[in-house]
Amino acid sequence: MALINIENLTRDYRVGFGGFKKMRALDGLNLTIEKGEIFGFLGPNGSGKTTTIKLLLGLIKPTSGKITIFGKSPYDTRIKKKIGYLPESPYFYDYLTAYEFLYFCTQVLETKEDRIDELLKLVGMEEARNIPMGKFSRGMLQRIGVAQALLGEPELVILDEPMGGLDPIGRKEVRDIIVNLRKEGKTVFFSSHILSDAEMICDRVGILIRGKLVSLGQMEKILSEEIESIEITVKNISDTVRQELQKLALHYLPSDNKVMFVVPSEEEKDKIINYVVNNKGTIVSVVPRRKTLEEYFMTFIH
Amino acid sequence: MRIRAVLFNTFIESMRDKILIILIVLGFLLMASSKIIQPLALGEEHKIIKDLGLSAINLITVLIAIFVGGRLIYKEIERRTIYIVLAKPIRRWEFILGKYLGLLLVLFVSLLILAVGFSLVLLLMNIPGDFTLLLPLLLLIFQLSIITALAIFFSTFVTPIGAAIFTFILYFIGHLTRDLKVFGMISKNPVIKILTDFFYYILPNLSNFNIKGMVVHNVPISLSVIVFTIIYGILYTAGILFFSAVIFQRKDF
Amino acid sequence: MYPNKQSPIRRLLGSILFLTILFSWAFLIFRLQIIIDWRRKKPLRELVVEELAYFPSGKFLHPVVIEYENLMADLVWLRAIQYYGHHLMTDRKYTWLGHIFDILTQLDPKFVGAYQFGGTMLAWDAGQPKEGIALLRKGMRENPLRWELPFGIAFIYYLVLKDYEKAGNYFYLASKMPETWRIAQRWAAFSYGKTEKRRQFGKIIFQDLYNSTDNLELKKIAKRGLRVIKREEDIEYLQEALDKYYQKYKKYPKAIRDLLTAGFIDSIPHEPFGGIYLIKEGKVKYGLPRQR
Repeated sequence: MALINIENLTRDYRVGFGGFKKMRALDGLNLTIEKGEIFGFLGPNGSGKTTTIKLLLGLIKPTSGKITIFGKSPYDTRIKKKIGYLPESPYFYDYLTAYEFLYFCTQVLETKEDRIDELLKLVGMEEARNIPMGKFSRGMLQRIGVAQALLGEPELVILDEPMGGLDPIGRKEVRDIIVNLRKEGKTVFFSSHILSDAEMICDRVGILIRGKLVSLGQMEKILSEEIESIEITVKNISDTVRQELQKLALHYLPSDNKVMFVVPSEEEKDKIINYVVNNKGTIVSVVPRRKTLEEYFMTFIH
Repeated sequence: MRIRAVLFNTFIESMRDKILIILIVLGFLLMASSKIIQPLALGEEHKIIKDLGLSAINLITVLIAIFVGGRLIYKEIERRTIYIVLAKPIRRWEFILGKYLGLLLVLFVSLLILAVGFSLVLLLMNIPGDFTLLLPLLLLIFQLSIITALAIFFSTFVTPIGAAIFTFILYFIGHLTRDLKVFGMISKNPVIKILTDFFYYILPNLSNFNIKGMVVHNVPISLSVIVFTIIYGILYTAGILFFSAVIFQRKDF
Repeated sequence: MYPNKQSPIRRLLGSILFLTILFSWAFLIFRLQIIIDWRRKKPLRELVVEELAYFPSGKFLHPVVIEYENLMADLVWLRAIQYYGHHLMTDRKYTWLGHIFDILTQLDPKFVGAYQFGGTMLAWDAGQPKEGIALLRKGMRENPLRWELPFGIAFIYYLVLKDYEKAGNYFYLASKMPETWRIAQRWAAFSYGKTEKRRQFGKIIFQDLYNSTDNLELKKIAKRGLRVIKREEDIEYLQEALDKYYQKYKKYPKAIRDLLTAGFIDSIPHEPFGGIYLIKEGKVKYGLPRQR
């Protein structure tokens, strides 16, 4: 059974003077999230990712459409115990220390405080335990945010831009945490506009552009379908052979005694390999160049 | 348990806010200034000091209720802490109730601190008095409970400035309701009579809670009036909070 | 220009400059205010009271003060005292006194001290006994069980308006109140008696007034009254002795001392205002003490 089931979800906002104009933030979203996957919800700023997440959490009401989480409505407080959430760019309570804030969260969740120290360690914030959060840097706030999301041992973790404000080390730590969650059997749904991170850890991605879901699928599949070019590096070929091969390639790069040919597809690759082998040359390497997720993404932006 | 968590959270957040300290110190200063008027008061300094003390406590706590109350919900939205809390298994009405009770606790503690200061002033200046002087403070708590509820009510759908202004206006009008009724009684126009009566009963009659003058002049106050006034305070507050919860339930964040 | 990059001397100069600017500004503001005050024709005290003149009655002040009417009344009281004190020392004209006390008692109708003080001052100092009585009657309406108020009215009728019947009525009223002074009963009797021994009763009245109030100003008035009466009594006593002396010796003595040595008086009375008694053209008078 799908953990999250979104059917034809639409959300409009009233804008302008008197609120007569309507702006459609989300347009007919259909999406299911399965248990145990890491789902990356991608899109440029303003595409409707945060709106979707707020709808999932019952913070706002849909204009039309239906959502079920764990089989129930987002407004049902029973399921909220199973969800951990981190909003985008959070601040917290200036005058509370990190520990006091997490303690407050455990009180609301009605769970035990034992997890607090463990989680502080996980996000690398044990030393800042007793410092008022008003003094925290952006990165520190982000880490506490992750900690509070995991407090209740949630089955579903929803993160809105979890890498925001983190340096490369921090981003790796968050990626590791997310991957670990999957190992523990948990489900992670996160939104991001940093595509390289998503590429590294997601099982599935959905791309949201201006409120519409333009692409949805397995990460591997998306990337593998989009092979841009193949780089073949060879050596020990004569000039004549090289000249022949040049005709098949998009371009080539000589260096030392090696030559690298860049071909547009598998067809040319096979031809070159055969030709080289037949002419007693050596294949050094064959590297398919995939489009990065970013390049794939850009195709939707026109 | 959850309500209590929000309550204490709100209490601690507010108590550590510097604005509160400033207001309380102001209250003490006002009371201490009564020493200055002693030579000028021509034998009436006891009355003046009592008036000043009770009025200072009254004013400061009302200001806290209006200005801190108006900002309470807004601050959570601005800091996005409300997203985190509401995403957890807490009902929306529990959240509002927790915030309200937290602020009420802040007011109660501030009032206690100021009342102790007031008692000290009375003791140091050898002003005779008994516990009836503290009766206005008891009713003040319930007036504050209404004002705070109004501040929170407005803060669910307007900005903090707007909430503070509307709450202040209702505070102001709330003390003029008696004049409104009298106006209606004098008028010969039946429409005005009905209107003034309607507003008299609908608006919060805050003048019910003002017994400062009576206490300072040693006018006996009937216990039953006090009890009924307290019940009025509780009931009116509950009504406002109910409507606040309804609005808050339907609110989009 | 960061402070920690400057040398200590630069920093010191910077502080001096800053303080110079600060004090110059403060001084200028101070001088300007003095000029403004000087150019204003009326003194501050008058203005502060005249502000109240713009309120036709305390009724309009009431909404403005929300629930702090007692405190506002205290403020008006303080201003009233200032006003009274100032005019007592200068022109003895109390134009706004009645109005101020009107507003004051509208704000705090149970402020008994205000009715007392206002009514008394209006009758005695401002020469407006009718207004004083009106104020005290207003006080009686709001505080029907306070004996001090009809007592105050009775005083005014007795000593200023010399209407002994009305005075008697009010003394009687005061005596009927709970927690009253029994003395009010005695006063009703005296007043109704219309006796000629007024001075004697005047002395008792002033003594009672002195004892009945904590208000220092009223106490001063009572003391003054007692002294005036003592002086009148002394003069009457000495005059009697002087006439007897003249009858016997067909001439007047030079000084009061002679009356004592001649045995016509038992002792030389002290002049209550610190002066002395003297004899001038066959009449006893009082005057300033002379150097001995």
